[in-house]
Amino acid sequence: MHWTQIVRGVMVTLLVTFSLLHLVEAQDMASSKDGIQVEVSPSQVTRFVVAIPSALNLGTALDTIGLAEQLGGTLEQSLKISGYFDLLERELYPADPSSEGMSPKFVNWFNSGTQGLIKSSFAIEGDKVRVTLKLFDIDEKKVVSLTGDVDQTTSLPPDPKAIRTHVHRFVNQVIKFYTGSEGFFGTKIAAVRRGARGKSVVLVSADGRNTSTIVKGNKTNLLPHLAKGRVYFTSYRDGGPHLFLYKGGKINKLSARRGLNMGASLSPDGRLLVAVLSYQGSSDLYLLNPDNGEILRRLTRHKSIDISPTWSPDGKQIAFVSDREGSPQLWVMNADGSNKRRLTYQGKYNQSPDWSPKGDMIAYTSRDENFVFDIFTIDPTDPTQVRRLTQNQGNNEEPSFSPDGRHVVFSSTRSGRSELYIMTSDGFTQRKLTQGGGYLTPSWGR
Amino acid sequence: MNKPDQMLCRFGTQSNILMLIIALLWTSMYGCSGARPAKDELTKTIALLESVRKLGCVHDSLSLAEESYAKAQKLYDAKKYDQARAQASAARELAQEVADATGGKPCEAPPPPPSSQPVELPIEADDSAIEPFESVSAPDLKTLYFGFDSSSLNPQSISALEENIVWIRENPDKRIIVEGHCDSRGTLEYNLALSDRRATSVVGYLKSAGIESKRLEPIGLGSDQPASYRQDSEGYRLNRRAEFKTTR
Repeated sequence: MHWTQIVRGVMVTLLVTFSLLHLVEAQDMASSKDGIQVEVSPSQVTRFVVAIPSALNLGTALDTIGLAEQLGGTLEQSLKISGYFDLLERELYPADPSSEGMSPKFVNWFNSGTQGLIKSSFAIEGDKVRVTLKLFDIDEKKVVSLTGDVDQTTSLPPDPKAIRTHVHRFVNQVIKFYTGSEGFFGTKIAAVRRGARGKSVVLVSADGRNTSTIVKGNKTNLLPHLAKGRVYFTSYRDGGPHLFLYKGGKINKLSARRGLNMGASLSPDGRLLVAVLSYQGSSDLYLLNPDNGEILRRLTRHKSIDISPTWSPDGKQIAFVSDREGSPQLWVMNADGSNKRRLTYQGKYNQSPDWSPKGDMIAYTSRDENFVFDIFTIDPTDPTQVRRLTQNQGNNEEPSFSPDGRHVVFSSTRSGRSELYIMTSDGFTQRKLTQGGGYLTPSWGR
Repeated sequence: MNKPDQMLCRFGTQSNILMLIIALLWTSMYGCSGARPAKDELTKTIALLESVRKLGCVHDSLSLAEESYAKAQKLYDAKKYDQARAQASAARELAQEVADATGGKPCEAPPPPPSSQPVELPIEADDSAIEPFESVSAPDLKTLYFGFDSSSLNPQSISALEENIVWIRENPDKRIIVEGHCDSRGTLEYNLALSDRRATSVVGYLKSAGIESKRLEPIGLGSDQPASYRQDSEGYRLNRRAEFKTTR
């Protein structure tokens, strides 16, 4: 019996040891001493409740083209993307909203808890459709009069694009009524699409429904910048990374100097182009003629990497990325290159800044010690004010503000593929804009 | 009772428990599904991925396969062998899709993706006037490797460069293209700048060795053309490089 006891003892010891070894997993929570340490903070944007009952067919012809779905679908989708609205759940609607036609019984809607009500009606007449969209203020118990005749009965071709455009114009005014400024529908976002053919430059509509290719991707195309109807981009089509301008359907080469020609950004008044050239030895910022790429002024003269310029909305300053103090950080200088000062001191890797057209903040990408990228904003007048907009959801990079500075488009890999997302500038309501994956480096047209 | 029965009685429940413990120990050592099968699957997958990549095809399934493989690697490192094996197998299926689609042949232009109607002004631009830039690989010239976020030449790089210089001097009619590359971690613009700096620092060394600057062409390619799709420190190391090419 003695030896079996020994064996048993040994086996139990081994079993315990192995169990302990399996329980103790390698610690993969790295210390956060070097990473940027800011948590996401609460929303500062008010949201409104709106109900959108189904569109009413007030004509005699049957709706064989799915017009009711087009109207309702576009209304819902655009209000959701804007991030300012919560849609009232259909279960809370008063019974049979269609029976009241286009004249709501305000008391019933008030009791459902909604603040706004959008009613839509249409009539199909031959080769045209007549569409009426109305916004009602339930608290005030009256119809809202919107600017631009968007709430008047309008005659349209039965084409989904025309209908969507009309609904977008209406929604932009609804947004203006509630938030003071128009919505962004109708604007465009330039981006790179990595697809079967390589990397193409595409334009994505702000509702994500249309993507059109403007520069084919047989050779790599990168870093598009959309401003005033022009797209500046970098391409390897003739060998090196050269700077090109797409305008009016034509592509012109602007700068093919040796080394890098990239990161072009047009000044708010359209008269100057800041870009990155490395032909003098290291990546530096230059002011160029926006039409022919001629060098007007050299802005940085340092052996460090100086890249990613972005203009302040008054055109007086340029924020950029420099690693002159060891790691890539955000810096600011006057538009003539003078008075360079460092902006970011949190985080060891801060990149791709975009200055809000409202001037109040710069959005940028920061990388933490686990090589995860997230989007932050910093107040250029008080750089201690750093806000975090994304967290724990894949890599989030390359923010670009909407023309009114109230929204940010960025790329995110949270769904498994790189897609564009839109969020309000406080980081709330982050909605996926594209599908199919492969979308990179968005630039919201200004 | 004869001897065997006696022994059986003696080893009754105690030995059964011991057998059970031993069995548990062995299984726990190798994991229920086994680290080895998962490792095998990973190895097979990366081999297929690398051979598909050599065909030079750009295919949506290929990038999906790479991402799946990266996930599989992470799961394996986290000792989730079952999931790692499943993920690696999924990656291998995707890579096989690309291989099947191309018939194992190097790629030509695949059919363009369906694009929706252009809205207002965007139309395909005419770019036929620009001439392509041709470079061919230079197997006699060694690739150099760089440290993380660095463009400085370490001793191994210097000695490789000295060997390359011998060849470059012996082939005075060839132009030398130095391509700088980065690993995939990092934003696009910074990676381009870093890769450009790597290429420039190599060209600087060659110039200081007396090679005429008009023969030399540094070019930064960012992380666009990786040498390895592995998402681990070895994969990143293989991508932080300067490669030499020549013109025909």
